[in-house]
Amino acid sequence: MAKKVMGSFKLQLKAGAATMAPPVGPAFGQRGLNGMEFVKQFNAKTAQEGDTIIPAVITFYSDKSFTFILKSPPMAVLIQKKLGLPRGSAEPNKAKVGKLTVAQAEEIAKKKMADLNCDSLESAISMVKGTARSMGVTLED
Amino acid sequence: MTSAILEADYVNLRLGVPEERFDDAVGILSSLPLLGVEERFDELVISFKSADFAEITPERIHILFESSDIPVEVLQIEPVKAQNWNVEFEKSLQPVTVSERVVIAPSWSDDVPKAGIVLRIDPKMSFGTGYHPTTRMMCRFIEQYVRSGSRWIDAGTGTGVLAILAAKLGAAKVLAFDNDEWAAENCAENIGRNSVEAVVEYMQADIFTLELPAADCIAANLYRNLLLPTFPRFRQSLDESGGILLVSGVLVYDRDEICAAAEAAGFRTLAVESEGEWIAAVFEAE
Repeated sequence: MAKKVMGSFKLQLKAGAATMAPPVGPAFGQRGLNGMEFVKQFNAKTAQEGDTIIPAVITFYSDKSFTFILKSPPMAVLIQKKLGLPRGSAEPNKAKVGKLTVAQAEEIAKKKMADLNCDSLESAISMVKGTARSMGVTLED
Repeated sequence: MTSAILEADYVNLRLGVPEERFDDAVGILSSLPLLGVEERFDELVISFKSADFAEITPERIHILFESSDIPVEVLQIEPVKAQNWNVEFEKSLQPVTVSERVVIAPSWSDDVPKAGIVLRIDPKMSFGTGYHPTTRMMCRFIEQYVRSGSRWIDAGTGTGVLAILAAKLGAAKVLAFDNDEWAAENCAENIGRNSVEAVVEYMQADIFTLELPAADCIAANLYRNLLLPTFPRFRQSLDESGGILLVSGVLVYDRDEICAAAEAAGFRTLAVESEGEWIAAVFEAE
């Protein structure tokens, strides 16, 4: 008999640095799942991503096993990484903290495309531009 | 800061955020020294070590978000005490047959298959129960390479399972270390449970700073990113003996890179095994 899906949950964790500390330990523990196995797999699969935050969607089953898929990092994180910014602007309308080129916006859009609710690269690029503006990042035409 | 927060090991900051803005909110929060984020219904739970939370006030959170158009509400700041969160899973552990000779079983299990060596391991949130392929492959390699009277290092020991097996198979001295606080207590308990205190020495230490002693064999069930920069130091530790390095915790996709790095550091690849998406490898110091 196929095992039954009991539910899913989503965590966002620093690449290669998961431990049993919260949120991993409590999230897995309350569902009776083996958090240590997740830690081993997550760190092995993400260690090459530096200290970027990586979302993981975990699906768990009636036999207490689980699977997970990794998503692309939040768009604002990708923009910060691309421009080498520690964070966005405190006053995005006044203080600009960086400049994103069209090529960079397209590169980020392609990376995020699979996780976005949009059907074309153009609309994904628009979303990147929107996030960039809200962070105080200007766009190069 | 309340005394409950100051005394806690961790702090959960619960923020009300509309679900469609989670991505943008985490982008903003990523500048904080957080451990991770759990997404709930219109709520983000951001976890911190309590020491890192000292500077984070509701005012600072509002300042972070005030220039964005993300509606954010601080719902709760919740102190969290460290505990064994894996306890429910650990209760379900069953004995694992690793090979014809070796079985790993929790201390409370009475129904243990007959084997020459039964390792009694209670994990308490540490890695190394025999449930993971990397542990089983490393155990089988250890069976193959332990010589009576040999000196071992177990890097990233977790429950201590590999160090304890090496001791049971005749190693004279084993240095087992891990940087994890939980492993410190747990490894010591398992060493006592298996009566190998005279052979296995545990140390809480970081692989990048610990001075590795001379050894005949090293077991390192770690990660690719810890192994790659450490191969030259492993090689140095095996200089005098021309000994053996056993590694795992490596995905099959990283096999070529790991073997190339080991060979560049002065090792010869003797064997590589795989189980599922994981590999374990044996290298000999040339």
